[in-house]
Parts: sequence; structure tokens; C-alpha cells
Amino acid sequence: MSNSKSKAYVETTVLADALLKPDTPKQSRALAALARYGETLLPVYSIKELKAGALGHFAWLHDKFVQTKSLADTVQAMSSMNPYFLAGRRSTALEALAAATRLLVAGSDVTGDYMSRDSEDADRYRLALAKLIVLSWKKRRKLTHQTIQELDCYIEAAPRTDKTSGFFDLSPQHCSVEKRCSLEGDLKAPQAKELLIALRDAIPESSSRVEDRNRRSVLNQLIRQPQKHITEEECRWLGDAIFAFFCPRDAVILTTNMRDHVPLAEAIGKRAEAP
Amino acid sequence: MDVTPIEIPSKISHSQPFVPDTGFKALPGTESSSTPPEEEEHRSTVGSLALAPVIEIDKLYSAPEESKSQLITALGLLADSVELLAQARIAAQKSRLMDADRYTQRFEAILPALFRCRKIGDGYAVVINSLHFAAINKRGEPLNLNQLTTAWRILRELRNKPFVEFEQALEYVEEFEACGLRVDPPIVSELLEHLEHEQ
Repeated sequence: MSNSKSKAYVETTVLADALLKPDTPKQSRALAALARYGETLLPVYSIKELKAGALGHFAWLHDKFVQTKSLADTVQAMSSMNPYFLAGRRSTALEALAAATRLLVAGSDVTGDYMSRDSEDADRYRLALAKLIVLSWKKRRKLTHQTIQELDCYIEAAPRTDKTSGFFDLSPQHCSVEKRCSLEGDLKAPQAKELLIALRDAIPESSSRVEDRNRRSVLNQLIRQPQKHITEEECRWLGDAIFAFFCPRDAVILTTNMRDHVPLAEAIGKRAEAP
Repeated sequence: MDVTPIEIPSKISHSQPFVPDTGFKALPGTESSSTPPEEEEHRSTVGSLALAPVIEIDKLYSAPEESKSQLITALGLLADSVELLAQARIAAQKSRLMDADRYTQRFEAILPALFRCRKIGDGYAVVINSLHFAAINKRGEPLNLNQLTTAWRILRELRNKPFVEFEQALEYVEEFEACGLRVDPPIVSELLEHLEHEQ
């Protein structure tokens, strides 16, 4: 039920579930959660992360179908990057993907040779991915009541395909290196230092995760060397800390990544909720 | 139970010969009376060209040789599809739901052949592919009247403009989604999750 007084600050994982996981329980949960709040706010930082992450993965897969023109070869390529598809599971995955394109109507399945069937399946997935990438981008700002915290350093260009190669061009996926980080001013405001210290301290110093180490390092830099400008890469490393820092006081961070967001949010007196 | 026999259009054939046509008349489902409003408006405002000789659809569009035969096949199959969906709509409107579904099944059986004509273009292919996955995701459940009407109308437009741009084709796909058809491959979101695990 909608609570007209509640506000949600929508993090990237929820945006990805709502846009890129059609007809799944995750999408249903994300959409139901967005309907639950009286006001939903989407920071442009979430859009930037979506394009650099989940949308980028789908674009890679789309391009792999363009390159190989084969479902079997694409699954093989995936197997080299992902343990899920290794060895025994590869053939299962290939069968599942091929079976998912079959229409169970008598007389419809005129069997072609393996090569043409494999190429047809590849085209089906290529087109489905292209459709999903383009339409999800189109819908990104329509999911929430408001899109907030525009980033002057980031150009929100629509995904497009190269007419010659057929590959997706998602550029720019990151902020412009020529422009000063739009968030830097707020992060370096005098009253921000206390928040930055609390955020840094919420990340265990002993953590072996690369993302934790990088995030701590940038937070330390902001605290100790505020005169130093934040690079595009450092802005990305801040990641989850950005959501905790910029989430309005009267809103909750809506995320599926509770493990990372809860400690950060709580360290500065804010809250994170799962869909 | 009284079941009305279904008359299948006699001209359904994947190797149907091409009928020279502007795409606006003659073939089932694309008669001048069923021309979309924007086409009628276009024809009524071309002045002296309104009396010009009709242009065959394969001359109207500069199709490469490779896709020309697919275009000819697709136009025939699209005409068959439009006719079957029109019959399904009529049956559904009269609450002859079983008949409506039988016409729909025959239409769905044409979808793989329509997809094999995908060299016509990605715009054409994404419309057909979306209907294909919509049929799979229905898992045998019949299309309702609104869905039948949307598919019928869009395929009729596709037959008139088979070289539709990809972006415009996506507007058709959005219409499929708006009437409750689920047009994505059932497994596509799992692919994303596996790719995310790699990160």
C-alpha cells in the first residue's frame, strides 16, 4: 500500500531489476516497491551506473551475437568469462537458450539444418537484447516520480547501434574527464567532513574486497586532501557511499544490495530498504 | 458442443507468388478500406501524383536482391497472417473463443516462416520476433480481443511498410507490451544475472 509521506531514493540495483529483468519476480518486487512509496526519486548517478553496468553487460552480449552470428559460439564466449557456463553447464545453458526460442505450435517448427537454426537463434536473442536495451533506456526516467541530482559532468546519451558494424555504442558510460565532478562541491562542503569520516569508518579497514579498499581510499583522500580534485575513476569508486551521502534525510535508499548499503546509510543516520 | 468449422484462407502458402501491388489494396487485410489513416491522408495530399500509375511495392522500396525474394515471401505470409487474425477477431467478438484460438494457432504457426524473412530488416524482424516470444510466453493461453486487434493492426501496417525503421518498430513493440503481451525471451533476465556474477 502506498504511504503518501514516504520517500524512496532509488539505487541502481532496483532500477536494473525494474527495467532489465522482464517478467521475473525481481521485476515484480521492484515495481511493487516503487508503487509503495508516496514519492520516488531517481538520482542521475543511478542512470550512470546502470549504463556502465547492467546495460553494458547486455550490450556486450548483443555484440557477441552480432560478431558470432551463432548461439553456440556466444555461449562458448560466455563460458570463457563466467564460471556458471563452464564445462558441464555449458551444454545445459545452450539447450535452455535454444529451447526458449521454440514455439510449440504444430507445423511451425520446420526443421532447418543446425547452422541455420543456430544462426536464427542468435538473431532472435540479438534482436530481443537490442529491443530491451533501447526501450529500457527510454523508460528510465518514467519509473519514478522525479529524476534528481543532474550531473553536469555526465552526458546522458541514448544507446545507439553502429550502422556498419551493428555493434552497440553506449558511450559515454562515464563522466567527462574534462569537466569538474559535479558532486565534488557538496562532498567538500565544511559540514560534509563529519559524514565522510563516518562513511569511511563504516567500511572495515580489514576488508579484502577491492571495492571496499577503493572506496575507503577515496573517502580518506576527501577527508585529508580536500584540495585534490576527484577523478572520474574515483567518483565511480565512491559508488555506494554516494547514495548514502546524497540520499535526502527524509528518504530511504531503495536497494537490493542491503549488505553494502545498510552499514553506510546507518553510519550517517539514514536508512536503506529492500524492495 | 457446437463447434463452427474454420475456413482457412485457401491462399496460405509459404511459396505464394508475388502479386504486384502498392501494398494498399488487393491482398487480404490490406484492402484500401483497411488502409491506416496516415496513408489515406498521404495519398489525398499528393496532388497530381494521386492519379499516377501505382508503384509496385518492390519498386517503391529499393530492396537488395538478396532480400527481395524474402520480401515477396513475407508479403504473402503477412497477408495470410492479417487474414487469420481478422477471422480470429470476428470469432472473438462473437464470443466463439475456441474458433478464435484456432485461427490464432494457425497464425502463430506462420511466425517462424515470417522470421526466416528477417533480411528485410531489423525493424521488420523485431516486430515478428516480439510476437513470436509473446506466443511462447502465453503458453497456450488464447490472445484476448485487444491483443488480437493490436497484432492484426500492426501486422497490417507492417505489410504496408515492411522496411520499417528499428526505432519505429519498437513503438509497435511497446504497443504489444501495452496490451499485455510479454515479448521478451523467457530466459533473457537470467543471462543478465550470469553476466553480473562474472563481475
